[in-house]
Amino acid sequence: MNELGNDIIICNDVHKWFGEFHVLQGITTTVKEGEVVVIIGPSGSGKSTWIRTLNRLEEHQKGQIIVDGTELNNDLRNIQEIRREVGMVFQQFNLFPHLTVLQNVTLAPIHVRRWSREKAEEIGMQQLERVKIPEQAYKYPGQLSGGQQQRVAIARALAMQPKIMLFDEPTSALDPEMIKEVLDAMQELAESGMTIMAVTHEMGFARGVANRVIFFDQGNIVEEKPPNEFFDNPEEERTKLFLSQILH
Amino acid sequence: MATTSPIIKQEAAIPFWRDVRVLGVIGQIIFTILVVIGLTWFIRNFLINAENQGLQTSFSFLNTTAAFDIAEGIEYEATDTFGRALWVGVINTIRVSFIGIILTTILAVVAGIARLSTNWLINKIATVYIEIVRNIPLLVQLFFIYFAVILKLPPVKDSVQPFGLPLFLNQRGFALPGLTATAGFPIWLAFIVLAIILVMTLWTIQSRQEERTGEPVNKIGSAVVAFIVIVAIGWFVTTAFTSNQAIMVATSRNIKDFDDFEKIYLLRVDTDALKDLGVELATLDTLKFPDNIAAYKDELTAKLGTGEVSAEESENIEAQLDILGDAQITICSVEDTVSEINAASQLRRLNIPVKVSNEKSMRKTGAAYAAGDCDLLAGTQAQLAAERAILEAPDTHELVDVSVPPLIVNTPAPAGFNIQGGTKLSPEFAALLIGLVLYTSAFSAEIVRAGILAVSKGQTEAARALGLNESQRLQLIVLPQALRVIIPPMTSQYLNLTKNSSLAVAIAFPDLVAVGSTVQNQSGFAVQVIIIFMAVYLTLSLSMSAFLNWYNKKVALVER
Amino acid sequence: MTTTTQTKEAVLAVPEFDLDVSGWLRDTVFGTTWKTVFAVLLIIANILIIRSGFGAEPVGLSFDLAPKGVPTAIGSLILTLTSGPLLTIIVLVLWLVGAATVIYSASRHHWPGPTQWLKDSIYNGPFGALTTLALGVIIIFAIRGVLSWTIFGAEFRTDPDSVAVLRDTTPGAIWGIIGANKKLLAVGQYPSEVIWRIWASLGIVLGLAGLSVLAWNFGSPLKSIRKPLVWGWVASIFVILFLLRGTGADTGPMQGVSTIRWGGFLLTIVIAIIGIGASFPIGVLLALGRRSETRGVPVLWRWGAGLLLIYWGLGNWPDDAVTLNIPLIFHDPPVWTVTLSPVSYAALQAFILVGIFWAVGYYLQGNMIKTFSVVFIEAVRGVPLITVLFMANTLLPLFLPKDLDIDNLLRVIVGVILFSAAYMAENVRGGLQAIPRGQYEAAMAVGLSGAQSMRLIILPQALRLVIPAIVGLFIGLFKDTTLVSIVGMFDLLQMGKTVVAQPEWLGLQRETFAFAALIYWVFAFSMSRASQRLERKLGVGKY
Repeated sequence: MNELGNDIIICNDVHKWFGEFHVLQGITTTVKEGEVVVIIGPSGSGKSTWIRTLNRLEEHQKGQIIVDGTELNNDLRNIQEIRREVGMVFQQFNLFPHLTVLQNVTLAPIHVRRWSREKAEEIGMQQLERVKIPEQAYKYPGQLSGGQQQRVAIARALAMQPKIMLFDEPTSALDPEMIKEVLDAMQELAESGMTIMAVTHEMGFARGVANRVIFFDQGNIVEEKPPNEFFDNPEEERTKLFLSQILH
Repeated sequence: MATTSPIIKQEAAIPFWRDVRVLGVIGQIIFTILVVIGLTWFIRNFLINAENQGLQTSFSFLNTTAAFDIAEGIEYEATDTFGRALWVGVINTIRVSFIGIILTTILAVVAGIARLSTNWLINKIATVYIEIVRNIPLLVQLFFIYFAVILKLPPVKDSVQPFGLPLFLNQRGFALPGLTATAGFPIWLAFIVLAIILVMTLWTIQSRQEERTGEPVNKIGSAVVAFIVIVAIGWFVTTAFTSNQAIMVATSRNIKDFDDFEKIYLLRVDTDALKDLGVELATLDTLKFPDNIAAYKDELTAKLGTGEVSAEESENIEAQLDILGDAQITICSVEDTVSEINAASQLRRLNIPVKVSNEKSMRKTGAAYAAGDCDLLAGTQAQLAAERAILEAPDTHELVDVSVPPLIVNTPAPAGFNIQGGTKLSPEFAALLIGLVLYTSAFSAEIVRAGILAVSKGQTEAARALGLNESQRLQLIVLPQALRVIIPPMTSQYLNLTKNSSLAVAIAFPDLVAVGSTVQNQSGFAVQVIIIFMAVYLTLSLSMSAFLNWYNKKVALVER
Repeated sequence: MTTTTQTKEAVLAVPEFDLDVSGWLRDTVFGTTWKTVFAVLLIIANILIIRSGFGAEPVGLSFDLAPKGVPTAIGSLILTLTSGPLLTIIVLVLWLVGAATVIYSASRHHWPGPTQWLKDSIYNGPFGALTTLALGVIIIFAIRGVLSWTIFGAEFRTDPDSVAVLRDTTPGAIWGIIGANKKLLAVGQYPSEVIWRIWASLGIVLGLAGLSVLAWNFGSPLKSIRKPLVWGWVASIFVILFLLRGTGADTGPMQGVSTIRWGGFLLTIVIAIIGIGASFPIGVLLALGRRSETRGVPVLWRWGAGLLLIYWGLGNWPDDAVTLNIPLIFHDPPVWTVTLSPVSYAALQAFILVGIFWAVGYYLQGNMIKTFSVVFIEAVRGVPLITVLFMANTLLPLFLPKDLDIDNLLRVIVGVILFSAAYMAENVRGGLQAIPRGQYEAAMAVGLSGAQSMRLIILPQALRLVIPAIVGLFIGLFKDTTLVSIVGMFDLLQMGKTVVAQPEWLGLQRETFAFAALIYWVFAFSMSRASQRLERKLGVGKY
């Protein structure tokens, strides 16, 4: 495991409501630099909503979220700063279909970080090599398989050189034979020291790569522990029930 | 609406130009201010210009006398107000749109289904029609139909009669047979409603019987029979008992019904004069029946038309036709009333030539009869009793009751330089209607076709597997589902038809826009007239949209 | 379970010739009462048609379309071949042969090959045969009539004097009216000495079109010029407008040609292209406005009340009674005059103003941009184009300062632009709605601002989706340019009407309007075909 650094994400009593529905009921936790956190839980528990609040795709109504020292509030400057430092990979890839793979990857660095085209392409190709698909640079997303598209999405997020990577069920939409290539890319990322928060069902990944596993249920963090303790000695009843349902 | 989530956030001091919440609102406020400034500038200009040019900004001008004529529509005279004139325009718009929508639906369904036919020729004809009409602007088609076809038709006395039907097409418009409702019509309508209720009851009873005994009962057959029987009874009852029509004739003539006029007519045929012109005795003998006289007249006219007669002969023929033409029965009646239509058509049925000296009011008609201008006076029993009372010698005239069915056919017939009777369509109305229907149907046919195709092939196969034949498959399976796909775009085509009817101004049909622009020219109140335009059309289009939304919801619910 | 084996002979045996006529009639022809009725009606119709066919009268077309006069040139041969008796005999024989084949093959059950095609495509059962005969004869007579009017009996000379002499004896069309007036119909009253500018404009357009075809169709090599080409098209509009308009000079090669002199087909094209071009950005803005989701000012009605109080406070509280004239045209009298006391009038003002603000707050989340877009789009789409043109023509000068003199053509074009923008907005909105939410989220997540994500991600995708719809809009606009003739512009159609009114060409409406219809049809049809090909190409495309 890597050496962990300072607190890079601090959540303090974060609440969120969708109308009357209290989806996040007071989340308090901290993530350190370099830590790999895997979040598991039943569907509808709010785990996707939580990590989406971390880059303002969803707005939290109460509590504090501090990312890399910047508070996430209504200040536009703060929001833009945080989004630059946080990369996100979606379940449905969400690649831009009208641009080539390389254009997908270099778009944000050019327009947000204001790099020159040459620098952006250089860094972009580096990331594509990192996820092992440099030869696809000039193809369009529609011409790639699901696993390749998700890896492009990872490269696109990495090209911004973020400090944190968020993964929202990155392998749920993939055919089984392509899951491994994406998990391999995520593992390489973890080993290089990137701070990762991943919502996933892949228990193998959680066991092997995570520093901490968080069990999320009904808007609350029920249990958070290092993976060995989590899987072998779960404390809470709900955790045990959930684990028994998914590990068979 | 759900209550919004409680917003309890720590208030950090965020400068407002970076605050996400404020930015959106600021954008709105800036936009609103710009719009308000813009509007104020426009309105200021308008008020200045209006004052300079002396334009009023109120609607009171609608009470002013219009002082112009409108070619067709509901009752209106030049002494009516501008407001009334605009209302006439609105009714004309609604009239042409309503009839247009019905005809378009029929033509669109026919053309749409024809496009799907496996018969190559039918398919190609429909395709060619659609592709040609869709790509030519409507206004060009209207101009062609109006200027290049209808106005080029022959004058009234040479009207075109396609296939010899009682349809008269000429440059003053079309005269078609129509149906006119008489006094007994509402009662007959009640009979029809009664028939429908009884048939529905019968159907339910028979369905229950079917379920109980398990044996199929011919529901359709008995329903049809029952319906026809009741409607027929209603027809006869109404004809016999609710007719309020009568004719007044001189008692001396001894007329009991229309057949008796035959004798009078035959007496008027001047056979002596014909003999002088050289007509053979044998022919004269046959001229003792109105049918033969009519046939003989046709023969003579045909001979003239061939152009193979010498000048002498044609003079002779024309003289004969004059003599024969003098023999006719004259009817006094008020123009376009049930009495006139009935009397004229009854006599024409017997092949008796008829001259209708119609007036605009019963007073004038009665006076004409009193002056001896006609053989019979036609009107309601009450009217005739009143007229009879003021005649010089009332006892020398008698009233003969006439029984009239609830609906009578109003057939046009040539009468001198006019066509008398029938439903008359002005050339403008006919051109607008035909143009709108042809144009809109071309688009609607594609909608119908798409709707039928949208019902998936699996449905067809399932229906065939169940043993339904083609027409059952269409009616029970394809049509209800296709309707759901067809109705929304079809409604927007109906809306287009209504809006396109505004092109009437180009061919002088007095619809709302045409009348409105005349009003605007005469009164100078451009703004107000345009506001009225927009109000009327927006009302029509918003009501149709509302209907569409209601229909979509209703159909969607049924699906769940 | 026993399996039955079929002998080879049994399988290959052709059924016995079993002509059960009554059974066949019962099943196919008289299967249902409707079919019987239809069959009877068709037989009657056929008899009528055959009768009139032998009588050589064109069926029901007695509008001078089928001349009995002397046709010109090669027309005689064709007319002889298609004359009544001969034609009817030919069609009758063909039909009898076809019908016999149908009956025979129906009874034989096995007859693959050409008769199968005949059976399926033309002779779709006995009704197909009957209908085909009826339609076939009508069509052939109609075509014969149209051809003899348009070509074989027509007069093509353009010299008005000789045509005047020949008019009475020409049974067909007099095409001289088109030939003699082709300049008017094409460019209106554009001065002849500077027509080269129109040719130059045409040259520019054709050049750009040729380059565009090359750049978009034959693979990558010219891909790099696509972007500059698009800007080239945009620039060409201004260049061409300048060419057509000229400078302020009175004489010389670049003399000013005021828009009053533009007419005919030139005017049609100018209005259509400027209309669609300018309405595009406006339509995109309206679509974006309508989809705006920002919440406006909360509790909007209080702002309305506040504004009203300020208005009253500035001394506008109604002092006297106010008389209102409300138009109710369906009523008699058509104007409802109502006098309100000052208090009632103030109450009415309050009701209306606060009511409007409250409605916008409740239904549209106080979003003024969205309100404006929705109101504009729905109002313009709900009224006919002719009222928008009237509005532009008569109202626009009233709403602008007096000394700002607006060109007649400009007024009409403004009307066309506003009308087209509303429909364009709905098309673009459809495209925007088709973009999945994930695209917006991915753009946000990667740090792009709202404007950047619109420009780089959303709009390029949305516009690509709506290109076919926009082409359809253009074809509709092209046809709608004919309406400017009603507000006094001399487009192709109005030119046609003017030309027909000339004394030497009086009464030739049919020729003129048929020609105009042909021109419009050719353009509209080619554009719609091109659009279909474009749709197919885009569908296969990149993604």
